[in-house]
This record gives sequence, C-alpha cells and structure tokens, in this order.
Amino acid sequence: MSEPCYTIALIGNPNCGKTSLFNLLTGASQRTGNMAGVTVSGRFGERVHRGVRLRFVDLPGIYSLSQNRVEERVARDYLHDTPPDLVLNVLDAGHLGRHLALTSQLLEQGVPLLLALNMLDEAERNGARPNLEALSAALGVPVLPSDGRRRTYVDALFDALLQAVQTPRQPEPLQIDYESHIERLLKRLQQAGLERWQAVRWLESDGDVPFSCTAEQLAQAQQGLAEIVQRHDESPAELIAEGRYGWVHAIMHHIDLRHGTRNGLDERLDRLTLNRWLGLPLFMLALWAMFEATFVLGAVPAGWIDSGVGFISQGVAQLLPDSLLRDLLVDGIIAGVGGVLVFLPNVVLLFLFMELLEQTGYMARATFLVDRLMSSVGLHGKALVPLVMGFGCNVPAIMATRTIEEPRARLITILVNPFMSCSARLPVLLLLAGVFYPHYAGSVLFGIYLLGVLVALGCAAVLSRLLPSHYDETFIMELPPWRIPTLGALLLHLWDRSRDFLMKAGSVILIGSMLIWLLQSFPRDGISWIEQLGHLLAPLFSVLGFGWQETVALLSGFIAKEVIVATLAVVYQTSADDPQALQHAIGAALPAAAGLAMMVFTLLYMPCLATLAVIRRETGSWKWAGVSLAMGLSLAWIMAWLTFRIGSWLL
Amino acid sequence: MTLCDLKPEHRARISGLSGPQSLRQRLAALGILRGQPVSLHAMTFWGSPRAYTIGQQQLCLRNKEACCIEVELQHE
Repeated sequence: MSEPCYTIALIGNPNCGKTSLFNLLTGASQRTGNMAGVTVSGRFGERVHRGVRLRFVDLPGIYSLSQNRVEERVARDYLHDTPPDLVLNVLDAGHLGRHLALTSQLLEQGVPLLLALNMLDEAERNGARPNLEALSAALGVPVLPSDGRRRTYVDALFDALLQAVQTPRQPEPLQIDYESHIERLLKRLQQAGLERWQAVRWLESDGDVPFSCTAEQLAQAQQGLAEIVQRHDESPAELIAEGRYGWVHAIMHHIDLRHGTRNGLDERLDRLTLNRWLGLPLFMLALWAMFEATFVLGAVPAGWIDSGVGFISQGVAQLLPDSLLRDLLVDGIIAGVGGVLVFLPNVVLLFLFMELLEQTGYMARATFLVDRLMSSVGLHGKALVPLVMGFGCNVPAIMATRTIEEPRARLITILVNPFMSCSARLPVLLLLAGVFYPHYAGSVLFGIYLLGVLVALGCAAVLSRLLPSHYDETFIMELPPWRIPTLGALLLHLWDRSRDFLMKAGSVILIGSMLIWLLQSFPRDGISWIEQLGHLLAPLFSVLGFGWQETVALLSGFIAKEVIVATLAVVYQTSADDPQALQHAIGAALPAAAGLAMMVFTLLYMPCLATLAVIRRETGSWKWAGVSLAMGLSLAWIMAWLTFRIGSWLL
Repeated sequence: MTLCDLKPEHRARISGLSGPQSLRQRLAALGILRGQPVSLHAMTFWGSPRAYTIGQQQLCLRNKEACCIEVELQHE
C-alpha cells in the first residue's frame, strides 16, 4: 500500500529560523545525512498530514544560489539534480530587505514556491510587520505566517503545503529589469537557447553553473561578459545584484513596508558584549561560568546515576550464580553502559549552554571576538567553542563543530579537538600527579592542560598548511539579532542531542567494553589475552619508562579514558576503591620521570573509541579517524619520550 | 576612503567595490552594494575584524576584505 509522498525542500538565509521551523514541522523524526559527498549536512524528516506523507529536506542556510560557497553549491545542486515537489522559502519578516533577494532567484527559476515568514512578532515590535496578503499578491506565490518558535501557525502552514503539492502549478518565471547592457546580453543568450534564469545565473556565477551550455552559448556569454567588464566599473555579478535589490526595494515599496528600527536593547547589549576592551574578558567569564556550572551541576545527577548503576550491578551480582554470564553482565555490559550514562548529565548541560549561546546570538558575537586569535593558527573564530567544550568531552565538542561552515577549518577543528584534555582523562592525571608530585599536583595538572592546548594550536597551524583550501576562507559573518530562546525549541534540541549521544556513543562503548572484558577474562586459566598483549607491546613503551601494566592500562583506555585507572588497579592487584594502595604500588614501580611521561602520553595518545566513532561520522570517512589516531599516537610517543628523557636528566 | 578608515562617529555610503571577483560576488549577494549606508558598529581588541552596520544588517568583516569596500562620507 503506497500512500502519496511529496518532497518539500526548506531554503532560506542563515539566521532566518529555518532550522527551528524544520524541527517544528518534522517533530523528532529527523535524521542528519551528508549530502552529495560533502561535509555540509542536509537534514531529512517526515510528517504525515491528512494521510499524505510529506518529506522535508532542510538545506543549508544560504544568501544566494549562485556563489561558490559549499553550502550554496549543495543547495543549488540539490534543486537542480532532484527537484523537490515544492520549495518552502523561509524568511525573516524583520529583514525582508535582504531575505527577498534569494526569493527573487527562486522566482526567476520558476520553481514551485511557498513563502513562510518567520519572526513576525519581532518585526512587529520593530514597527515593520509586512502585510502578507499584499506580499503574496505582489509575488504571485502563497505567503504564510510561520514561527519556528511557536505552534500557532503550523496547522495552517501544513494545509497550505498540502494544497500546494497536491495542486502543483508552475508559476510564471519572474523577470527583473536589469541594467541595459546586462539586458542586451541576456536577450542574446536567450536567443542562443538559454532560459532567462539560466543566463542570469551564468553571469552571476561567472559560468559556474549546474546545467550544461553549448559551445555557442558559452562563447556568446564569455564575449558579452568581456564587453561588460570593459564598459563598467562594476562586475556583472554586482550589476545583477543591484537589479535584484532594486526589485526587492520596489516590492517593499509596493507593499508599503518600511525598514524596521533596531531595538534599543539590542544596541545596548552589543555595546557591552562587543566592547573593544571588555568584550573578550566578558565572554571568557561567561565560558568559565558555563564550564563550572556544567561540572558542578552535572555532578549531582551523575552521582545518582553512578549509585543507580552500582545498585543494579550489585543486585545482578547477588541474584545470579557465579558464572561467565554474570561476569559479562556485571563487569562488561553494566559497567560499560553505566560508564556512558554517568556522562549524560554533563553532556546535556553542556549542550544546553551551547544551545543558549547559539540561540541568543551570543555565539556569533564571541566568534567575532576571537576570530583574530584563531585565524593566526589557521582556525576559524567559530572553532573556539568546540575547543573549549573539548575540556568536557570530545564527543559533543566534535559534534559542535557543525557550526563551522568552511569544511577545511571544521576538519582541522575536529582533528585537533582530542588534544583538549577531556574530563575522562582527569582521574588518570589526578592519580599520577598525586603519586609523583604530591606538592605541586595543581601546577602539574595546569601544565598538562596547557600542553594540550598548545599541541592543539600547533597541530592546527601545521594542518592548515598541509590541507588544501577549497576556496578562500574569508570571514564575512552576519551578526544575528539578540533573541530569547523558547523552552520548547531548547527541549527538542536537548532531546535530539541526548538521544544521539546515547544511541551512537552508547552502542560503541557497549561493544568496546564487552571486548575488553573478553580480553581481560580469557583464557580462564593462565595469563589473560590483554596481559599477553601488554607483554607483547611492552618493548615499544619501555623506552618511555612504562612497564607492561601501564601498557595494558593505556590500551584499555582506548575504550574510554576512565578505564585506565580501573585497569591499573586490576593489574597492580589493588582495589579500585582504595587509591592509596594503588598510589603506593605505582610509586614503587615507576620513576617520577616515567610518571610525568605517562601523563603526557595519556593526554595526547589517542581519541577514545566514542571520539573516533564521532570523528568518522562527522567527517564522513574512516580516513580522518585514522589520521587522528596516527597523529595522536606518534605525537604522544614523541612527547612522552622527550618528557621521560629530559625528566630523567633533570630529576 | 574605504571601510577600514571609518571612525565610530562617521556616517558613510558605499561608493564601490574592488578586490577579487569572488569577493565582490559574495559581498554583492549579501546586499553590500553601491549606495548602501554604512557605519562602524564594533571593533575587536586587535582592530580586525570589525562589525559594521550596512543597510539594515550588522556584518563582521576582516580589514583585508573591508578595505575592498570604498565609501564616501555623508555630512549631515
């Protein structure tokens, strides 16, 4: 039984509220997918309305269909290669003056179109609420109110969407009057067989278009282009943009819409947060508060989860007879899954704060503040937040790199992120610092964190020279207006992210911890496989001053860094509950320089399994996960060796 | 003069774009065109990037790009 199914593509400028509208339209049914082999992701979701299946595609936020930016190429090619049944153009009602420029391109192309106007209440507050009927009449396409942050208009919007896809109609393509030389060239190209919108697009994009042209058309276009460049100061792209904005201006005039005034509160907030001297310290303070709150507030529910897991684990241990199955359940599955669950409160809180930063518009401002710092090592201003999040957990931090639009800058941010010392490494560092440097533990810890940051920035600088840049990485960013996030949107986002985290990281951790359990438990009589492996690899690490015990612990840390302490306790035959005994044992077995080397190695050596999985998912290939692994291992080995050598000499 | 020379108290209008074709295309697509009113909105500690109010929007530009935007001062 096949019910009718229609595809609707959402398209709009960045910051138009497109994504929250998409969330509202699709509920929690969406998934993220990489489109057309690039890292810019499009999202898909479905909704059945009155028995009709509507499939929604959320295209990346763009200003134009004709530029060479990756997001724009994705959207443009999507429209060309798989024309949707309807294009839902989302606009910010308070900024129609710019958002209508993209609409004009869609109208020229003559795609089936429906306009949804967001942020109507904001526009009303600023005294610039557009008349929707008049706008619809002027454009010749349906215009509906929508608000990604409120449900009010959604039912009406669904009905309109349904009607639009069920009774499709090809709108008459829009004809904008361009400058006279452009017009003459357009006529010539039309005579050569191009459609008008194709000719316009060709001139706007400097020939970089998804459709193919005949040799004659190309020759005509290139000749015309050369003529215009000779006659004008302005490039054809500028002349066409002027025509486009002129048309927008005329539409605004026609529907009697004035430009809104900027809200006084916005001005004051900007004056404070973007202050030349105060801006950066204020943001650092906000980050510090966020970081502190994440771990202080997260520790409480984390403690509950931890004791809950402990309770279940004890219960199972008591209920089941001593058997292999009991060991697998208690030491393997419950310990493993519990290990992930404990991080959930921290992760959810981090996401909450990040989302607040993003939705209020502070993130864009912070990006502006640190751009100069970041760009000196080839990163983008937007890399700041994922890097700071890395101190918490690299998994959500790497997911947060999605806000970086340039693929190369995003890739570098992902690859250097594991060097930011995550909270899972803290127990190991604390243990070792306590053993070897009891009087300077704090300074040693700070030094290790600093080393992580320096290595991350250094690697970024190197990677940015090695990786080819696909296009010029300029920093042209719009500051969105300050906005108050709504609870519903926040909760949906948190639910989405938590589910993602639990499902993806949980499955990896589950399998991984079962594997370590297997290696630790077999063969039942004699030396366990993991110990054998430890002895096998020990020569590699003995140069760094480590014994086979440390080797095994570091190996197990591949699953999750927290496991290192537990493994050390097992191999040194002490209880994990008694850190004193373990400290004595390690202190007796290792020289101090090796202890420091071990801290350096733990800091740098490799992303944990969950991080590798997320690197693979976010970059779309195992190759980069492999690069991250190789980079971490080799750097860790070299740095630990240096530490051990210099340390042995000095101490 | 260009956008880089704009002082906080200045009010100006864009008189032209220069620089590489790709940059001009990108600026044009954002509505940064001849005749648009501009003023300096904010400046970072290093002096680059800076934020400008262009037309109705606030845009951040590094000085390298901002120097490609020529402006004319408006006298009230």
